[in-house]
Amino acid sequence: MSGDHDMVKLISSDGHTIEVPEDIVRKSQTLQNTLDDLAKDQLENGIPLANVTHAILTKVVEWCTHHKDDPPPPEDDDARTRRTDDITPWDADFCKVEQTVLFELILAANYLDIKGLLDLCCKTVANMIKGKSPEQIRQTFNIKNDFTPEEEEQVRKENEWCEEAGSTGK
Amino acid sequence: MAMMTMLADEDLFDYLPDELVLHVFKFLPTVDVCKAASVCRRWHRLTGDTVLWKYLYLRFQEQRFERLQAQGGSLYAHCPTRLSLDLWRWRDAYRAQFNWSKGEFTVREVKTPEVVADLSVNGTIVSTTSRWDDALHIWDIANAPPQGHDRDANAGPSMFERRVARAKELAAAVVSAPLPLPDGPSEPEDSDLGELLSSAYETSAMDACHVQSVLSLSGARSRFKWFMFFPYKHGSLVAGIARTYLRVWDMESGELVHAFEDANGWTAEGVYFGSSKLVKSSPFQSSVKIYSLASGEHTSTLRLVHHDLALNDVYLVGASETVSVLDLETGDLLRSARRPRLNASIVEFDDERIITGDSSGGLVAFDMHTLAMTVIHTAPDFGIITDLVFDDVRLVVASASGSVSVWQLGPDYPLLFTISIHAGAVRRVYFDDMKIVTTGDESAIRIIDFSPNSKDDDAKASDDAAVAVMTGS
Repeated sequence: MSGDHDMVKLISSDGHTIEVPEDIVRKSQTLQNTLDDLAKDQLENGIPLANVTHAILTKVVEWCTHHKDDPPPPEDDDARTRRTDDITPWDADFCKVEQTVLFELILAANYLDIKGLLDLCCKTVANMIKGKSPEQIRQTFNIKNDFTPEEEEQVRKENEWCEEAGSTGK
Repeated sequence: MAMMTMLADEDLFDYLPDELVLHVFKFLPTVDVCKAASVCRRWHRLTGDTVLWKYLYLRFQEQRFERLQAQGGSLYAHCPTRLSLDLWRWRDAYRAQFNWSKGEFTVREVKTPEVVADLSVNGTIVSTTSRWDDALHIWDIANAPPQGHDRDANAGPSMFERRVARAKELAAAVVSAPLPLPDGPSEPEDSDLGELLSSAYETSAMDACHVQSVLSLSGARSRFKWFMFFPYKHGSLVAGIARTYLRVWDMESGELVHAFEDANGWTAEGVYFGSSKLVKSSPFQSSVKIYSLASGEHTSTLRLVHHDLALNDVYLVGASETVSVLDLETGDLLRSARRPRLNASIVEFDDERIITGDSSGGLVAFDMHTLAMTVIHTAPDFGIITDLVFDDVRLVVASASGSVSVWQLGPDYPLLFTISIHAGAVRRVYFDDMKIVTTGDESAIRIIDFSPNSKDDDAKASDDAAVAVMTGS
């Protein structure tokens, strides 16, 4: 009686179905469009999400549920919204996951078009890059150095000016 | 199973498309973006992304842009060109900001047929009037060679010198051609002049000469000492001042639109303000006259005694021993302050401050609202101040000793650097975020270029010039 019509079935790529309240589902711009485009009876069997696994979908729903009362994020790509030191303790905790999960969350948030979650995960990755040397960054993310030593030296020289830029604050 | 399983021991960034890696980079401080360039080839490519750097630049200048927006100014007012923001080298613009504070620059030069009387700059397009002819020259300084690079050439005239000679020839031809006076009885065949002008344009464009075009203004005759461009209705007009005249021409046709003549006194400066008014000042008559562009009529006169005046569309500021702020619409004196030792010969102002320069090299700033005074510079070694300009960040001052000095705006006004740029006096100075443009008592426009790649470009330009000389001989 508590309103089955308010629940939406989401089917993950690995075949699990979960039921999520419609207002939570609507945090995703992609799913919001799907809900608006499809008739009620077309939704009966659930919405398949080809790119999101059950584990990741559960995390996404957890985030959306916690943030269900947030105001919609600003549309414009304003510089002011680009801070990395404004992550709430809950969000920081939420992001304490395996790197693979974090990257899968980025892809899922991008696919489902959930700006707040996408920004949070990207900020978290940016914070893992910040302050590290190129070698430390490679180690952190298993990135292969495909420069020749000469190229690497040239690229380093190209970007030397920025060391001074860094010392002035920004 | 999932369509894709990420493994902890692989490069997870491989799973992210470029747009998402760039989204991560946007959250990095600039210094970390630069370090990230060294990580691998893909990151090197992505950290050079124009849109990323546009974003980093705007973030870096955020406070400045917020201030500008609060004042109703344009976010992009300080960008070198407003036409191609996405094509602009944002990273270079970012780096240029640091080159200003370090005093790192390259001096470039465009040789002009005559000594320049006044200049107007928009991006890389510089318009000049010369002291001895009636033509308005329009130059593209984008590829101006470094100063003096052709002087070492001992194998006859360089390509550049030949271009200059050609430009002089063309300019001389334009001057000697009879100019069509609007109501003169002896109008020459328009086609002759038209042909001459178009040939000047084409030849210079083909020859890669820096002269883009030479616009002859009908009835200019007298030598301009001041001019400006402004948009009006569907086209744009150019207003020029010479002796006692203030005249307005249509930019497209070169036709004279208005001639505001004044038998009483020399005209010092003019300004376009609002949508339809022109102002000219006659310091010898201690007056400022306001004209309507629509009717061509003189509408009002303000009286005040000052050595120099500056105007925008709201205020008129005068300076000598006193600094005064007047309402341009009503002519009311809003406030003034008497400073006994101030002997200002030049004044500029914006919404926040008034800055004056005097004949003994003194520079003084006043708060626009309270007229509280701050001395920026007092040393007499500096010479007579001939021109000064400032924006919301920097103050650039030209002196009769041939130097240009740059101060940072702020409570302490620190001097950033001084450069000796002309053999004689510097007469006019202009600047934007990437460059300072000056003219002096030499037949040259000099460009103090802060863009970071200028040194590499110089090497290339020299090579090109060398090749041109070799193949040309």
